[in-house]
Amino acid sequence: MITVQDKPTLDFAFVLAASVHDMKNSIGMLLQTLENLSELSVPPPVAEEMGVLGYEAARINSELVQLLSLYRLQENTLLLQVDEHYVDDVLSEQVARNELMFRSRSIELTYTCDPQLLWYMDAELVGGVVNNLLVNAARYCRQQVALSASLHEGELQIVVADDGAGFPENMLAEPVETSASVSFATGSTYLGLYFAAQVARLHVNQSRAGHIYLRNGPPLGGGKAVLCLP
Amino acid sequence: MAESRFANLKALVIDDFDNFRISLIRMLQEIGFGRVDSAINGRDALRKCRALQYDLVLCDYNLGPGKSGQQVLEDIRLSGLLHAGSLFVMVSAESGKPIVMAAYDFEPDAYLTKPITTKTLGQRLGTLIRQRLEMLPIYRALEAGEIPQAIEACRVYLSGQGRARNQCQKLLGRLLLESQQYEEAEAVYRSVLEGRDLDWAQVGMAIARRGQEDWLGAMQWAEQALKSSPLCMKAYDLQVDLHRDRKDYFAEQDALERAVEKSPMSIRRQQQLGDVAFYNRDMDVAVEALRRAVRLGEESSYDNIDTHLNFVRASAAMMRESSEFPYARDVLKVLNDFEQRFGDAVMNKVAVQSAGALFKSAAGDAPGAHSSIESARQITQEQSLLPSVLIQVDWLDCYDNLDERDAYQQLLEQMQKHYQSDQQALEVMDRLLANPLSETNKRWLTELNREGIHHYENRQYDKAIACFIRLRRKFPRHIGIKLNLIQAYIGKLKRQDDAKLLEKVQALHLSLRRDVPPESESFERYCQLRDALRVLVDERENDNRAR
Repeated sequence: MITVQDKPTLDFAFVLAASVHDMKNSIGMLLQTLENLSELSVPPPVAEEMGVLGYEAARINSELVQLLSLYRLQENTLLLQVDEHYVDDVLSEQVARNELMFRSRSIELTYTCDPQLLWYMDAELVGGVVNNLLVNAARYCRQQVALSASLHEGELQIVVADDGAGFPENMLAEPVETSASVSFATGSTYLGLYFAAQVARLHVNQSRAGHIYLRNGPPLGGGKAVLCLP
Repeated sequence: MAESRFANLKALVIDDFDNFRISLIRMLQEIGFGRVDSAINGRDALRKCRALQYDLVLCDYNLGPGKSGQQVLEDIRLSGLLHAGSLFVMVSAESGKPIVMAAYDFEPDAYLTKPITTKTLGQRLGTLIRQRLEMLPIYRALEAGEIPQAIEACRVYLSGQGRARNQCQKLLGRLLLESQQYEEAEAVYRSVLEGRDLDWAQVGMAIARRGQEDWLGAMQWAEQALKSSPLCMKAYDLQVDLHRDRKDYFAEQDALERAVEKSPMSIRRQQQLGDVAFYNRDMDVAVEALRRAVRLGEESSYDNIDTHLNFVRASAAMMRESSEFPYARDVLKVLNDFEQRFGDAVMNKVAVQSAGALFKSAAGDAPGAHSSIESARQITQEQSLLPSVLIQVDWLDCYDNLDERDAYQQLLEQMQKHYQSDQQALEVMDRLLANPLSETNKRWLTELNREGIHHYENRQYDKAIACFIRLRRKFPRHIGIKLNLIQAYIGKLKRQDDAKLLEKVQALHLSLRRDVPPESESFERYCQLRDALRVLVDERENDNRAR
């Protein structure tokens, strides 16, 4: 009459998510240790190597964050908490977060945002997207990255631009939403952009949904990603 | 980086990882906090908070075995260990708040995502503390318990250009609701909603409407909130409260089931779902929810004795109905740990012996059940105690399971006499009677029965069946309900053939044989239903032959 509790069935997506979570903890530890080390005075060549370590670890970290968020999105357990925020509060946090990376790679970051600008968004998720766009720009730029935010026709536009070679032609053509294709040839999964598009799409105001688009050229001559939030 | 404005602030860091904890302490010292203490787990943290009032608690969500960050937050806020203007910041490894963090009563003031650097931490804390300082007059009034002054201070703040507008609006709305100034609260929320459909303002509107007894309006606002934010747990909780206001316990259960599906880690929701499902005698749901509530209770301030007892009771009821019961181990653990957890006061001994007797009787362990119930009854006799009606009902259920008719009848008569004018006690006992005695249950039975008959007459058999099943769960000894249920099933079977269902209905009909003797007034109806069932069986056989 009494039976022992059923053996739970293995849900691979769940196992993967749990293990990603674990990996993320390790990366966090790695980044923490690097920051501790960077406080010590080390010879410039070592500092440069540490910059590489820090950059790659940050990239893995943001990729893992996106994987987890996409998993939650798919499971319908990603909590979107839209509220009114000072845009400057959200963006300058990402600037501070990546300061070490930009410094160690000798990249000049220009940041422009009206400190009084208020807008509606989930600050955590949008912060994550901006972080990813910054890390991405740092990878493809030559020496300059620009982050700015302003209002256009009832939309907040957050722009991350660089002075690199720009986005490949095929990425400019299609809307970002459909470009979640994995390309092993170029080594890019476009996961970051796919995630950014999903986060943008979740932001809805009076039947207008957020979106993201890519351009090449101004303001710095390289690529430009524009995140639009209604 | 050190700034003088942090110098007189005291911070507590809670993290089980040495590495993280040490870096966080170092960062806070660098930022300029005058005092930084640390704790490695929830218990340690609580001890430190009792000894000293901190201005900032920086707590990791995942603290390994023991309490989670959310439970630490609940403990600290519930025991009032932080002052009104203090900050509780939750640190987590994930960006974006997973739903597990959708708290019931308490939310942290901010979330920080790992990895954390001195720069990001300094920047975020700088913003938060600047806001707190701006709102200091409000917090001072709150600390002193002067709500009207706090409300006034909020209004003064909002008329200026402060950067904590959003926090201040939320606080003002909450204070107005708490002091029952519903119209003023609505004005605050409406002004927010002019800018954007924000879920917290919609929930505020719903609470204000509920306060003004506009039930429908409150429901609509709660639904609006769920439309703008489908995982808004506060809106679910409010719907639950609204159904409870109307004593619509089935709707309350439905709403809780939806909420728990989204946020299974909240002990309060699991407890409430377990209790209401137990009340509705929906044992599958009750057992599942109460089992989870017991587990979540291991480290929670919200753990309570009734959750544990109801888990055993619901398990016993479920076990009686079905041959497979997966959670016997959990029940035995609850029984074994009971006195250690809740103390060995006499009433606790009686409660756990009685629940144990009930469970053993349902599991088929008659000698064990006997010894437990005798021991419980002996204690009450020796100490001349009158146990609660719930415990006495446990005894009745136990005698019923053991098929001890005399002991059952004797105790039931004794209780009916003792509680004849105690409506609450009668409500609990009604389940054991052929006809309910409490006014609430009488009314409820009449209403739902009428609804069932109405559905039946409109040939909506499934709806009718659902009504009668709910009634039968609550009043399993009521003959009329069972006959109505059979009749509704027959209606359904006439429309669509279903061999399995037909068999089930025949068995149900047969089980009534003993309860409906020829001299009973229901006998004629019983026979009519028997004939109707025979017709259905014959038709089936003819059909099969024709094929």
